[in-house]
Amino acid sequence: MGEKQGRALVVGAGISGIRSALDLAETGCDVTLIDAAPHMGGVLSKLEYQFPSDGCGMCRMLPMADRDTCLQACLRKGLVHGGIDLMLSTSLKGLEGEPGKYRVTLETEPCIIDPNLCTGCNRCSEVCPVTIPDPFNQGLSTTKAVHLPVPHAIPNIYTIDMDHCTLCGECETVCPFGAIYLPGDGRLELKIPRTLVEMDVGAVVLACGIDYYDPTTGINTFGYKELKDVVSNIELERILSGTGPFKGSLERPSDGRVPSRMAWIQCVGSRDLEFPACSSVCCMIALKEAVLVRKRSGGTIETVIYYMDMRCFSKEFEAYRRRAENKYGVILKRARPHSVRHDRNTGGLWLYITGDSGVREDEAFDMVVLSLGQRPGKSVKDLAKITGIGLNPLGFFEAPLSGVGDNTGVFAAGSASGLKDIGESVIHSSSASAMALKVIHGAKKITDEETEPLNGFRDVSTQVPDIGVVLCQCPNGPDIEPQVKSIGANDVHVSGIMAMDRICTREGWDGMLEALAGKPFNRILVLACSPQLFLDKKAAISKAMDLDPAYIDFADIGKGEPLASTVKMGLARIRYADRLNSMASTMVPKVLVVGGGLGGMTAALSVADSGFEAVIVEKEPRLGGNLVWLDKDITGYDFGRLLDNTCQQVENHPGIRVFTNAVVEDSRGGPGNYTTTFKVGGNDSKRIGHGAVILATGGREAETTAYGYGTSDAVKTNLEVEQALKAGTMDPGDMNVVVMIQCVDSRCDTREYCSRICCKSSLKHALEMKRINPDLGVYVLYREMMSYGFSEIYFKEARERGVIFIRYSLEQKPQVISGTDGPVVKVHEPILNRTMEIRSDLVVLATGILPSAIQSLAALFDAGVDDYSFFKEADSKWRPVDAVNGGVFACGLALGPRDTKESMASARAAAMGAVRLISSRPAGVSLVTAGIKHSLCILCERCIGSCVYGARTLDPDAGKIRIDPVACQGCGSCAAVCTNSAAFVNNYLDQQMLEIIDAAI
Amino acid sequence: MDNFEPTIIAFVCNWCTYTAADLAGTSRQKYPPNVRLIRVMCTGMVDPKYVVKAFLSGADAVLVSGCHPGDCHYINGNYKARRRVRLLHGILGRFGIDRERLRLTWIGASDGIEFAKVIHAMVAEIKALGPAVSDMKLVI
Repeated sequence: MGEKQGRALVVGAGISGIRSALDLAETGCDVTLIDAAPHMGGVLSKLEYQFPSDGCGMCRMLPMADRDTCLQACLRKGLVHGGIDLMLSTSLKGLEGEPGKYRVTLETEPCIIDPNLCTGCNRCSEVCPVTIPDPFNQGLSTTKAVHLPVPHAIPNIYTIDMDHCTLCGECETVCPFGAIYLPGDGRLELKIPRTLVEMDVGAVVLACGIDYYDPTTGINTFGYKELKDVVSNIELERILSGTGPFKGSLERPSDGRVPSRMAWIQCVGSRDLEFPACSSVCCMIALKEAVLVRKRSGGTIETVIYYMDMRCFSKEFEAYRRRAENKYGVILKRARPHSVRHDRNTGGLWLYITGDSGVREDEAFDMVVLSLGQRPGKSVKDLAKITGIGLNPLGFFEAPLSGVGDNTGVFAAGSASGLKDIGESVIHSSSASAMALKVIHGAKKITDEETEPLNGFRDVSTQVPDIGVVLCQCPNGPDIEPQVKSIGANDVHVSGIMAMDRICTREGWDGMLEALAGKPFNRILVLACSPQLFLDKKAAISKAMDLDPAYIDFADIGKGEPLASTVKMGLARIRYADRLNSMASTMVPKVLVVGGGLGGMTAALSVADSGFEAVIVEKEPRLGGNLVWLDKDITGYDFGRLLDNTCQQVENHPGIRVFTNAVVEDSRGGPGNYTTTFKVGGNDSKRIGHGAVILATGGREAETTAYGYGTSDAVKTNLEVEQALKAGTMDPGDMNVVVMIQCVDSRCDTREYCSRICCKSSLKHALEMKRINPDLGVYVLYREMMSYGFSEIYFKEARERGVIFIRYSLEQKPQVISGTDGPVVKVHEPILNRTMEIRSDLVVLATGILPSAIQSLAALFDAGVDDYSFFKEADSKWRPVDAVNGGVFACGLALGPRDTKESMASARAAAMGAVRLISSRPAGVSLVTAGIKHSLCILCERCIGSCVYGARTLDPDAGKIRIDPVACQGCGSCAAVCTNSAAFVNNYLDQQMLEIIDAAI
Repeated sequence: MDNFEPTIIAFVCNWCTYTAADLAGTSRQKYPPNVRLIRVMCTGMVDPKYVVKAFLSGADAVLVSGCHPGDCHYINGNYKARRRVRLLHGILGRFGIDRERLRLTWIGASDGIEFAKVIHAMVAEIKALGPAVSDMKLVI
């Protein structure tokens, strides 16, 4: 963790809140992370498979630089970080003060089960007579009134659903730990009552997520809740889950049969009169679910998705759709079913559908999945009132375009400000934390705690292991002390065995600390059940014993394995426990930003506002990039003003240096410490040291030769129209008909991806032209209108204002024929089922976006490009702006097509990533880090090739392999490929592993 | 022979299968006590010599289990494990070890039930195979 920065409050502990909390904690802020639920994880605790990987990967969000600050375990279980105080069942109730100096009031729900005493033994649930629908499985299965809210969560504290509890008292009687204290019988007070806490924070991040539309409240319910086999998309996710109602087997809820035909109905509760926006993610969710079903069933279940527009608008999504259709056989049909009925004869479902041509195309299915639209989270309204953050007409937080100068210290993160997939949520959360960090950094240190020195422990590294064993004697379990003692007696390294009473409870834990304090052991092995519960408590033992946490380990005696082998394995592991004493290299507190467009400038400002230096290297003579020619966005926001403001801030910021006409030439080093040379003005070579790099090299409108472009002045591109409208050289008043053609050279075999912003641009131009000349005929020829999120509102407005939208297919593309009175566009109209000829004054081509060539630049920094030559992210969902090695970031169009607002968010996220890295000041090398024994090394370089993080390099001068302990993540690939056992991973040494194996048998 | 209780060494990755094993514990999915979990950061760090050592020390079977393809915390460690297990299947015969005794599975963090199932099935199959007898006495 970096220099102490003050405290931040993050509201909501879903993935967005986790991302923001980690961002701020890694940069040295104390973070209070609260969630109204009794568990963390939000919506994602219920979702296991994410597109486009069909898997998970959430753990990739964990810190890379100072790994030991954070519990190294599956993030779905929970987040444990030294700098983050987690408060569950807690809500924000009040906020006073000003940015940098807020006083917040937090309210924690009363506890009926004392979390300090509950060990998750499940006895209460066994005796509870009240059966309730399990909220974790959306009511598809049952649980007891006293239950574990999320089966995989740590800590696994039970909760009681007081709406259903009959206060019979069975659980209270049976609890062996006295953790349950029911109200009633005159005992009106709860043991742990509702509590209010006030605290000072510098900034607040609101990551309160989303909710789902409830079809039973709508005009068309599609039989939801009446027909058992009509399920929502979330319910299907639970059905597919191993912790789901049918334990992962795909069954119909009505009779448990495996369905043979499944249908998805898209846009249920989205894109309608009540909620005119698009929920952005449901198309991909439906595709993913259908692919999962096809994979699981070996292709035996037929899957049909009924959609309006299949919105696969992010970089890899169109490819995913193609795979879904071509490889997995998912069937896509463009239609909007109007109702679902029960079929008495078959017991199945009938879908009533009217096809394009107006003919009924009803079909029978066994199961129907409703793709439910998203709604603002339950708490958004209250939070808006408390914090004064405005809401848009649909009830989401307003997210101002610039976020600069808004004089607030409260920021919306993730989907609380609009509908986003995981990748976008993560980007927008990091963007929010970057803005929060600016406020906190500006206010500087409202907490005056000093960082405790981490390396001040007694030096035991050269001592012979002297192991103290702590044994948690569970009153529920057998007496294991004699057995452990006899094992200890046979191990020369064990010098003390202490049996403690229930260290899983607060009292037991404190008792253990007291007993350990001042003891001379130099290794501690704690035998307990569910040791993950204690990992965050290593620090406490370490403090009590003045012992580096590296020498403290836990062994799980609750898994039912033979005690002897567990204890012996634990002893073999702890005996070799050590910390590599090579120090992590120091971080260079400077960030290089390549590219001075909107993305680069925003990133540099964000870095500089966090107290670090940013250096912009721009190859053009001036800053601005694509923003120079852009006029307005679809909401009317003036880009000229944004450009001027941003350029001015960059020029006036003391933390930013700008080099124009400059090109990067070479770079050496790795994450935390790069040395890069660049040429200014063609000959002047400069060299700088920096800890991280942000590639903001942008992109450009694609060139085309399609549809007669270049042969006629009446055929223009979106960019040319934007420029002409801005300059006033084009007057829509002089024209009668304009035809816009979408997806030119895009979403086809030669360029697979969707450029995402062209539909919005065309809508913007169409509306602008209609505004100037209401009589103008505007035809938009499209394949799929990608007006995702709130931009759907403009699609609707355009239709209302008389813009005609004609769908075309790749097989029947429009043709542009030059005529004497301007070009004639021939297109097949699918609803009329005939070919139309439109004589037009202007044809506008949406040609899409290409990235600037960054392959060689990325390669200089050991990063790469994807199939489309955009920057290759480490993970499009969980690490969406960083390269695998953790020192290189990208933003804006270099990452993939995105609009200005999204570019700015990605720029702040990239800056946040860079600041996370350079502000981390590891006191030592993380415990599980690779090393090398030079005496055994034959320089075969196999280890270098095996390292995905680029942490191993050959130092040609010394003739030695070098390891960058910051880049190394401790995966052990290098040690496994080394033929000489020269490469090793600390705490997973060969000798140690072999002894553990021996101990196991 | 009826009383034969095989010993299975399971190298499980810290991120996915270990989580699943833990989930099996917390959701009270009983699995036979024949398995000894050895938690490794990644299946990609399971050196073939660990597997051979396990057999030579007397294990009746070895399970290597990690994240599903694409889910590896370290990007591609599980693919490395897959290649190594394939190679090991090729050479285990020379140690007198039936290749059936080395398994590779992908068990995700939420698949507690799947983990219990895999262990049940493996114990049953190894019981049927009988104890492993290595005809080579190597010292590693």
